[in-house]
Amino acid sequence: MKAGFGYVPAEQTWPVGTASFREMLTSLAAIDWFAPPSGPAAAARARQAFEDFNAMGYQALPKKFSPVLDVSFVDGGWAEFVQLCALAREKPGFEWKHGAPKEFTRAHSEAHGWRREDQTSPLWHEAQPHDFFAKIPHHMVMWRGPYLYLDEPDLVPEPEREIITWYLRYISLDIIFAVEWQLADDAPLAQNPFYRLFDCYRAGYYPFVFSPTNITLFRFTAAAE
Amino acid sequence: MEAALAQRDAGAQWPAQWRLSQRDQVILRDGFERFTAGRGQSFGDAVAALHAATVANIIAGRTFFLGQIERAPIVGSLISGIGLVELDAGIVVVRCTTRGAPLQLGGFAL
Repeated sequence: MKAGFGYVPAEQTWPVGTASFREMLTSLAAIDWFAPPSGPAAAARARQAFEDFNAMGYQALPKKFSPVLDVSFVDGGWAEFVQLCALAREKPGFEWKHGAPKEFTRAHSEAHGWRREDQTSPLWHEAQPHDFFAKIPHHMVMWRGPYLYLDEPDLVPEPEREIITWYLRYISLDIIFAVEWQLADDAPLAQNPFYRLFDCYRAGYYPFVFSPTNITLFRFTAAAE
Repeated sequence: MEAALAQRDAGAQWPAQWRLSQRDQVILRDGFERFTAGRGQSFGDAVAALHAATVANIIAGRTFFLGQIERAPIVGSLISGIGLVELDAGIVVVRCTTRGAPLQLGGFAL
């Protein structure tokens, strides 16, 4: 199934990093989400992507990221994916999924002198769909995207739709970290750890993080109806 | 406002049918307490209180622009989709799910 941002990234322009953002967001919008991976090398590709991401994190924040990872693979259909998501929602360890990466991003932004509140931002009602920020009167500059949503949520039954929405929000947070990383320093995307992490999704694997050392990579064995 | 504070001190909770996560309950409650303690009136006051509660309860916590209803902005949690919006009825707690219309849960009051 397809998911996107409500606009065509390749047609948008941003004040900085346009080429990077077009490539990053286009690659995410092109993914056939929650479908079985293709090709025998997909598992190795996904594992390498997460290990690379973790290694970059460990290099910057050794107290937040583990020097070694215990990676396990789980196969299944919607029932197993829903079950794994329910487990992740109950276990506080899953908070690592955005807690450590958030601090990783913040450290990088501070090192480059980047601050969200310094960003030029339209008032919320004047923002364009592709704008990353919006300003509320008498308040701060806020992120307003890019958030990843199913293109056709009405075609997905419950409880899958609710679970997918939840999981896509975590991916959206990864995307915001990736965008902030690039805004702070528009270096080649290969140096962006979150862009590296996206290779998990591109390979058809969905990470579940239950502690800094225990990573489960889920793959669908049956396509979503 | 006084009645709301008294009810809160008696241990009022957000309605169970809102199905808030534990984290959302804590942050919303903290936000509401900051809002009332500061004698907040405006939506900007509520957003500031919610943001302060988010920062106080989550490391490097952030609030996000989530969308709009009737040309009013929604601000809240990207992860849960729980946010605040100002409508004719006052400041309302909503749940954003897809790009469609958010679900209105009820007033921002304990």
